[in-house]
Amino acid sequence: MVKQLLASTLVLVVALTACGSDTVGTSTSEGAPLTVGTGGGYLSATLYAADEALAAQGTPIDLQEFRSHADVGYALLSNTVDVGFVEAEKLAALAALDGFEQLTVAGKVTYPYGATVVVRKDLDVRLQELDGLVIAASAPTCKLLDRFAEDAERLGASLDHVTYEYLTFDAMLPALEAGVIDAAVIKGSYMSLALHEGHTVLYQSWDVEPGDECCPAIIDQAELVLLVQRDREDAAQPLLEALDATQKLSPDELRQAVVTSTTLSFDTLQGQPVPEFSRADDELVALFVEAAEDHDD
Amino acid sequence: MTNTRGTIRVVLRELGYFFKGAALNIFSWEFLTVLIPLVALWELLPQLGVVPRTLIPPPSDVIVTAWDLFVHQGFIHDIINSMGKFFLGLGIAIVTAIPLGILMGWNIAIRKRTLSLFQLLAPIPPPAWVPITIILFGIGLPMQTFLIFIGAFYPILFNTYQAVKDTDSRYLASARMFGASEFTLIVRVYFWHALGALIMSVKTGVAMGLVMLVIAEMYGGRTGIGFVLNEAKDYFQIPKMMVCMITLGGIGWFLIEVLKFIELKLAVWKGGAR
Amino acid sequence: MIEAHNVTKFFSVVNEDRTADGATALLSVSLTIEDGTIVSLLGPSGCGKSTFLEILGGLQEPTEGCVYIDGKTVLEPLPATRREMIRYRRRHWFLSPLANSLFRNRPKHDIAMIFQDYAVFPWMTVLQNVTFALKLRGVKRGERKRIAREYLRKVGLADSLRKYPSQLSGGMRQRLALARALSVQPRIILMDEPFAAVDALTRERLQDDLLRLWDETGITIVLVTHDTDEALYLSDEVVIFSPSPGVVRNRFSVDLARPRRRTDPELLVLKERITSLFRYDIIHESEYSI
Repeated sequence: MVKQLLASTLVLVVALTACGSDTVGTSTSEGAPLTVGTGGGYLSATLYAADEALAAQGTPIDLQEFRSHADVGYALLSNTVDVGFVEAEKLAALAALDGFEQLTVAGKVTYPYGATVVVRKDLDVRLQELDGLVIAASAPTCKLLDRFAEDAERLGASLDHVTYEYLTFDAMLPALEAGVIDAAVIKGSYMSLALHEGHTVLYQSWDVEPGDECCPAIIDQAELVLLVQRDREDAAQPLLEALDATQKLSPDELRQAVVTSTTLSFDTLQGQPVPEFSRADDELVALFVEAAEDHDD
Repeated sequence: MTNTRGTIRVVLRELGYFFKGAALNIFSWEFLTVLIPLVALWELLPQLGVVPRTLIPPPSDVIVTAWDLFVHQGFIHDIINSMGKFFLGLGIAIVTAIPLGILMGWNIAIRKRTLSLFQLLAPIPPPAWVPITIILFGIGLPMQTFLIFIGAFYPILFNTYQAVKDTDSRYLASARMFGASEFTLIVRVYFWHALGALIMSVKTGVAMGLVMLVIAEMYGGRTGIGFVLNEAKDYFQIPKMMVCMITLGGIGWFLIEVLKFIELKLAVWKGGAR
Repeated sequence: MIEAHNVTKFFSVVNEDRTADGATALLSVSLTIEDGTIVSLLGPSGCGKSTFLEILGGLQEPTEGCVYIDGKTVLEPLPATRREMIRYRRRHWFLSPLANSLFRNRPKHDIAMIFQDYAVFPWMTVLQNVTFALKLRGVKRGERKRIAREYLRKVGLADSLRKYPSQLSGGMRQRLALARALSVQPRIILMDEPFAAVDALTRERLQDDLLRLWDETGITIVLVTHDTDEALYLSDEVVIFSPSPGVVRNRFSVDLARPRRRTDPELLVLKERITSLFRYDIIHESEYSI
């Protein structure tokens, strides 16, 4: 019995160390194009534009689209990509994992929060007819919801008999598609996706002051943060410069870059605010450092 | 009255046999010599820092998370929800695939008219059905049930069909000589001859059904093990992911044990000379 | 009375290069078997004797010719012309005439059959095997168990009613097949090498059992075998088949009173004659092949 136990333990140790030695992964060699991970979509507009510009300059990047921005997080941890965009709200969760210490924050993509109410595609209702339906919001006390409720009241729509369903923004569109909810109060960055899926926008206001749980002010409307492997910071410079340059592009040029690189249509994007890229400011760096320190404890 | 009491006693006794048998399978000395070192290594390697603890949480972390999930986050409801869908899909697959497979194995005219169709459809990997299923059924229970159904259907159908087709012609001839109708042949000969393969096919169906359960729950719906698993992945909660994975493994193991037990009960006649 | 008139069986085969080929299993076999006799069909393997037995029992159609039992046709031969064949196919597109009724395929001729590998249902107990056969023959529910017990007792299986065939020895399984066949009180039993799979001692005991039961019931037994001793010991008449194509070569009457001794000189003389026939076959074939 003891011998058997020892033998199988030994076999396992050998097998596991053989596998384990490979898990760290090898850093991309110098000279190879910079690999950039993203979850894609409208929020990557500046990245698509930068990609085009860099390709024109003759220093192309290797753009890798993942199913979600969370997957980009795993790709960063495992050193599969050099640079990647991760959702700002998931930064703290990501910071708890090993491999985060080799990352540094370089920039962010911002998008106005905007209070937007989308209605399921098969419903044909006006603002005044929302009463009695099931509406999803991200929290009972949310600036977006407050903003909407305020305006609805002003426009004479009653929301007294609305059933609120509290979901994460991520879950709202699938729930809408499934018919679990009739309408959803989403933030601006989800609007292009909602339109793409064929839902109708009933109400929209970009006049929202961030500063509560569902629209935290601290990262000031940052949707995505750009994380870079520390040992690839130099190699990432051309990309950062190209991203900076997108600030000078017109909104239509940015939208066109999205249309070229995705299946979104220009009509869907027309009239919507465009995402903006900016370098990491002190606030963001402070947030990042805080998250990293939590991890060290 | 005594009859019901007798039935209850028999059921309890059989349940006892089942759990004893299942427990003996997993806690046998032979298996424990593998299981204990595996779990010990899984605990020790992250604890000693050989592998990063945050990426591969040791069992102790997973147990803490599991406790939290079950006690505070109502994970049991997710399990019940998932199992409901799973048994619905698997059940529909069983009650359609087995009769169809028997008919196809029994009669060449039916076989010639259906087999090619199923042979064309079967190689389509079940996940490839997701988009068209969403279009047809929308997102929700019917679509999830259909995906589980499609995963379990083909393995059950083909194994049943093959086993029925391979029925020993001597048994058929001997039943026919006594004047058996085709219906009697199906119920008393084909079915029993194929029983072993039939249960084997349901085992394959269980495995495929679980695969499709996780895939189905990635789309629509906000409950279920697959949903929790996927959400945990998106929010970098690795211990939670592991709880889901172990739960799925445990469910699969349990269902296979149940099927093994049913097989043992139904196929006493295979016991051999005693 | 069983009458076979010019029974011919032709198997068509498709070769690997997709050309059609065929083999004549039986060529114009005519035979009359009287009621209450034991007739052995003896011959080397591949002589079509098993095929002939299945045609007698209605498990295969003859290509040509016909089998009558008490003047009634067992199975019509397959149509000969292309046109008739098309009509035949259309009529039987769903089920072959061997299984021609979805709901009842009632026995027409009171025949039971015993196969070499017993063909008792392994998923039924000894008792269930017999009651199932009785049920198929339309015996009333209350009667079945009584009759089954009676016949199982006759073959010495009274103590194994609840056992499954896998728990029985080969000899016991063959007894079960025998009891099952006899329980439905058929007038004819067809046996396809019934004792080939058991050891010599068991075989002799089973042969004696068979004779005893035959004596009690007076049924007709048609027995396929390749064992000359067995054929001579049991039968009233031995029909010799020879292969490619399968034809009736010779017929020997065994007019010996029962019980017989296996070492009876008359049997030995007959055996020598039969063996020499086969020996001649071999020489005959080799002459051709040279």
